[in-house]
Amino acid sequence: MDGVAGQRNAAVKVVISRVSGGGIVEYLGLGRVGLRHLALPLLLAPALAGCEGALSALDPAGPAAQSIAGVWWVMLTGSLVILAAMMGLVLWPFFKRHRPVEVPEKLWLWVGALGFPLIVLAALLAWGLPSGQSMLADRDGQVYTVEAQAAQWEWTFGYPDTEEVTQGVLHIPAGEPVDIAITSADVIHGFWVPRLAGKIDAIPGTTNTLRIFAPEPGIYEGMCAEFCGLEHATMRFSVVAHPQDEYENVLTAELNAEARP
Amino acid sequence: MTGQSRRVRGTDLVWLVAGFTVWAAGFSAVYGLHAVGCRAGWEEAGFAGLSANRIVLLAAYLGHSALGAALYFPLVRIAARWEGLSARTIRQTAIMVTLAAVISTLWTGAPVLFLETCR
Amino acid sequence: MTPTTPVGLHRALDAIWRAPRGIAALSAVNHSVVGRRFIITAFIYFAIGGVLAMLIRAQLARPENPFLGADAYNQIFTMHGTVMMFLFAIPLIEGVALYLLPKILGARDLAYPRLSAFGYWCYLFGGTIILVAMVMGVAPDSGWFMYTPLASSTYTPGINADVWLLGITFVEISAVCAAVEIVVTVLKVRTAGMALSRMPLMAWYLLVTAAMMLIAFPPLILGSVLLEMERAFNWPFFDPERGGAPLLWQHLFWLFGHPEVYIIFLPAAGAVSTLIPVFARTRIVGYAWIVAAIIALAFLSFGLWVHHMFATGIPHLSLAFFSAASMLVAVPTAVQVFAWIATLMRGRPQMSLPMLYLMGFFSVFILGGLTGVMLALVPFNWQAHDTHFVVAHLHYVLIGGFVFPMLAATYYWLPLMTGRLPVFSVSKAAFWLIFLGFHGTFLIMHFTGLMGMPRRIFTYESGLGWDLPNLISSIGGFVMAAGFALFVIDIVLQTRFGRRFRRNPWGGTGLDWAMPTPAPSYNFASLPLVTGRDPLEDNVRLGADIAAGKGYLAGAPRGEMETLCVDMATGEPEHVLLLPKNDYTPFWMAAGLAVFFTAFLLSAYWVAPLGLVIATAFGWRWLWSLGAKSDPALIDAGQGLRLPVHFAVPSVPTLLGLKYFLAANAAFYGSLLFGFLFLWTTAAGWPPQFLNASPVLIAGIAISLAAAAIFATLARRSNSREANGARMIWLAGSLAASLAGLGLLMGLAIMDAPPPDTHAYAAITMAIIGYVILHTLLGVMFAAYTLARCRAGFVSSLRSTDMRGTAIWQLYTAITGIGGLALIILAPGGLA
Ligand code: HEM
Ligand SMILES: [Cu+2]
Ligand SMILES: [Cu+2]
Repeated sequence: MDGVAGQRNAAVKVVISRVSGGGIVEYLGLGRVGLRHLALPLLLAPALAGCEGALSALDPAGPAAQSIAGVWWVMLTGSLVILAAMMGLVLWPFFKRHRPVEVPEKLWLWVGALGFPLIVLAALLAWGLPSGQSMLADRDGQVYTVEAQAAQWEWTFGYPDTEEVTQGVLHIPAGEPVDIAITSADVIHGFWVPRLAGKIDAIPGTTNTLRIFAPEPGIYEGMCAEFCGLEHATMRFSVVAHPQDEYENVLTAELNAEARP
Repeated sequence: MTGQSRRVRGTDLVWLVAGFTVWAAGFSAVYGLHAVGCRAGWEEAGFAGLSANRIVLLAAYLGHSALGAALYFPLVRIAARWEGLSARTIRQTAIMVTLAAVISTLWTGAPVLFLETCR
Repeated sequence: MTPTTPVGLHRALDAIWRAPRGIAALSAVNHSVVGRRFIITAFIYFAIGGVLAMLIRAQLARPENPFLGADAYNQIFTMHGTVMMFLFAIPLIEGVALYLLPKILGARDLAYPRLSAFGYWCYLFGGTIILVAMVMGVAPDSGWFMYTPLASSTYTPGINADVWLLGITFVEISAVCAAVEIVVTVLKVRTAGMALSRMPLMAWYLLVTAAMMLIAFPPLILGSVLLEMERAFNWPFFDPERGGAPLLWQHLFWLFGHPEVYIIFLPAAGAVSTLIPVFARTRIVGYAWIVAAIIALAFLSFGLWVHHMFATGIPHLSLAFFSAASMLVAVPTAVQVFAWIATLMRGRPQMSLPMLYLMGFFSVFILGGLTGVMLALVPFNWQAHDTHFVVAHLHYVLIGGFVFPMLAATYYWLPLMTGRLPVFSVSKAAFWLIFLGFHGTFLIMHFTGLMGMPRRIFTYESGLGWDLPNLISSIGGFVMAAGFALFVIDIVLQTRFGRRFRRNPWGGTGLDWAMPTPAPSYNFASLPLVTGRDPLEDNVRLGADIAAGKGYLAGAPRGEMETLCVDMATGEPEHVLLLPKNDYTPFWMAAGLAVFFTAFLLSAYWVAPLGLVIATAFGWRWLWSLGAKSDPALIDAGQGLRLPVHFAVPSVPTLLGLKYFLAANAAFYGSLLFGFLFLWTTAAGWPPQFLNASPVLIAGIAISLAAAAIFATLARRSNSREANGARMIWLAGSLAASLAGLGLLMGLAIMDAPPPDTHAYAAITMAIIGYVILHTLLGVMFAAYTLARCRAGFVSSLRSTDMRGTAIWQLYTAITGIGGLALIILAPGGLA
């Protein structure tokens, strides 16, 4: 058990440093160290148990989902603190002990209303923008790339060097980044595998590319995230990540199985 | 020396929106030029380690920021001459809005300084 | 005999201002009546939207619930969003603005009472179309933002999407009317001494909101027109197979949709800024700061729309601009919140009933703002977008930032309408049910969303960790609904049995509380001279003075409905605005439009123009009723002040309104040109073929349009020189030039332009040409109208409104026409 977890951690570490590209993330202490060691234990370790789920973005299995879940816990903590402070300020004047005070207007507004939010927001952006950029798919196309085509109301996946496709199940190799070239045959759909990464729309006439990374073999559930008509609710799919050495064989077998109806 | 005082007029209210009009122009310019640049392949050309695309974006960004900042000086001069009812409030507000607009221009365009362009 | 006692003044005024009863109520134009109609209708739609929400929550309470099917659910959530946004929130704001503005500005009515009456009928008829469709089971079902191609005819073949596009466009006409009305009223129609700096903050908020509406609604109207053209006539603006782009719709929609949330929020914030100082028994802190903040907010809110499109594959740098702007918009909001807190601190606030609802506002809205900042963060948005996290966020903002303040405002201002005070205990219970029910419904929903539950699904399987949170949400929803039901009961009780009072129950300091309650039909028996921001504090006897006629324009000695127009900045009286009597014209004009929209909806394309003809005829009649055939004498406004009548001064409100209408029109046209440029940079295979127009034809059009503008200007100049022969000649010249332009434009459209159903390029080119044709046609009508008015004796050097209006119109047509043609001709050469 320990071994597996350890392996998984190691993989995630490698990936995170790859994905976040270092720099600002570490600098702000929001990288893996910050997230792991500060925010998570601080916050609701018990609640985390309730976050498990096949479609839960709070139960991340890939680096992108991981870092987003991390920043969510940080933002949640910050928000609760800010909310409590603001409500304290709002409610305080209603208490009997309150005496009317002339708040120094300039100082109050400059510091409270301008200074404080600007600093917090700048910090968020300084983390968010580079981190978002690091989650994008590569430009140079070195990465293993599969195709996903959405249509009302199912997903079809195509692979390099073959005409065969799989329906409803996407097979990828575990432990390496995979780019998914996503498009649609009819209306706009959305490709989302919450435990691995954020979502991107499948738009007719356009191809959008999403980077996913499954460090561990396993089944990761996905769904159509953009409303697409009658059967939108059930337009699901799965991503199956296979160990790298088995991937080729499994894929061939699966493609053959699909071809034979 | 600041010329004659005069009553503040309805047309002076443009100073309440001038700064942010520059912001809007700058924002649209940066957003639009980025789309056009990536489509037209300005990414490839360039010099001194900067792509043509980024040079254009930087120019639009810094240009509009400078323009917004430049509004401040005529505003202060002109607004100093306003008098009559509302003059003080409109002056104060116009100056605050104009400064806020400069900060906004600097803030919203800042990503051109450090993000990759066409990805 | 002119009466001088308060009772005598009241009788004289009420005799001409009283709202008509029975069938004649259709002709009512008074702002109190129209405002009340807007408010009540909006609350009825709120109830309908609420019932739909309960159906949603009932369906989602359990996994795999057989209660509703996918089709019904899709209609229900689409209608819920649509009703709440377009038929409840926006009209409620309009109603509150129309009802309150004259009362807080010290006027007897709005700048254009008939325009708001017209707006109300558009709202009612458009809303009815949508409601009838829902009852018949053909409600829109593509979501409240109607994404293409799902909403295009291939994937939504029925009438459902047309109901949305046509019904909402009809309703939005009323929003644009209200916007023009509000801007002009705040800028011009105030009482003496009400300088801008003395205006209640609410007026500033409404001014900024209305200005935003002028720019924000046109992109939506344009988008709807284009999509309806695609659906009805197969013009492929959004069809990727014929050079269109689905994303164009999203840009147009959200270009409206984001500012829309601030349009909803700002008036509610205005109510907060009004109530807080009253209940804290002090003055607001940072008046100028707040004004600056809302101006900043208004602009910034137009730079956020792409945050609804972070997952559409737009280049990351573009997302970054919008992410930064979305975060920045929190700052002006923080300025207001901090100003409110400082105001509370400086006073001795009491937890009276409206204040209780404001506490609900603070706690809910601040949290909504915080989750908004989270959503502005691109990577987090990629996870949270389109999930129930967003549903939670938007309800925190809308219910927190809009519904709670509006409930507070209802309790605050209802006594003004009814003359009665609340029955306290029921309203308190209602508050706690709404408040606890709200958090019960939506707090956990953030979590449900992050657990992966997407929005707009009618069913879900068990075992994903969504069951319990959904059940909690549903229970909370029903608790909240019970709270709203109690609120309604309380309001009914209050109106029937509330405690009567004489004046100013809350100790407000604005002019709205300087009138007897229930507010009389004419608001003020005489218009007071305002000397500060808190008129009732400056003069505690102000109410009595007003009633006794110790102000301007006391009573109705001339039998006219009169109010003051002032200098925009200083509030010095400039002229007297004569207001229209009750009139059926707005009703019939809206009815004509109803014929048009209904016929179009039923694909009776040959009947539809008939509706336009009716509407135009009544529009003509409306314009014809303005002004007078002789130069009016100065009016004795009392207090030694003699003022001209509004239509005999150059700064007549009519022209100001025309200019703001043209600003909205320019926003519409700008969105169309944006669409052209957008397709040009993004769509594939663009453009396929060029417009093969002969240079002679194009030059001919340009020259005609320019000539029409120049001649109209010369006519105006001759008119002010009283060269009455020359003005007719120039006008006729303008008319002829417009006619020539019209003919040439038709030639261009029919002979040279490629058929619009072949390619998006052809379609959007034709749309631009169509816009110019429409404006040239209206130019013809304006020139003809002014000629007729000159002949009938309505126009003189003093009464120059028609002349000026025509000149402005022709100039606008020339600029937009020539600009649009230049774009079409020059653009294709550019990019490869
Ligand atoms: C009365 C209590 C309310 C409840 C219980 C409620 C509940 C809901 C729920 C559960 C959804 C999500 C439906 C889905 O995605 O499947 C929803 C959507 C929505 N609600 Fe509400 N809502 C309420 C009031 C409001 C109000 C006051 C507004 C606006 C002023 C509003 C505006 C919207 C909008 C715009 C949507 C999105 C519709 C769409 O996805 O097309 N709601 N509401
Ligand atoms: Cu789908
Ligand atoms: Cu938004």
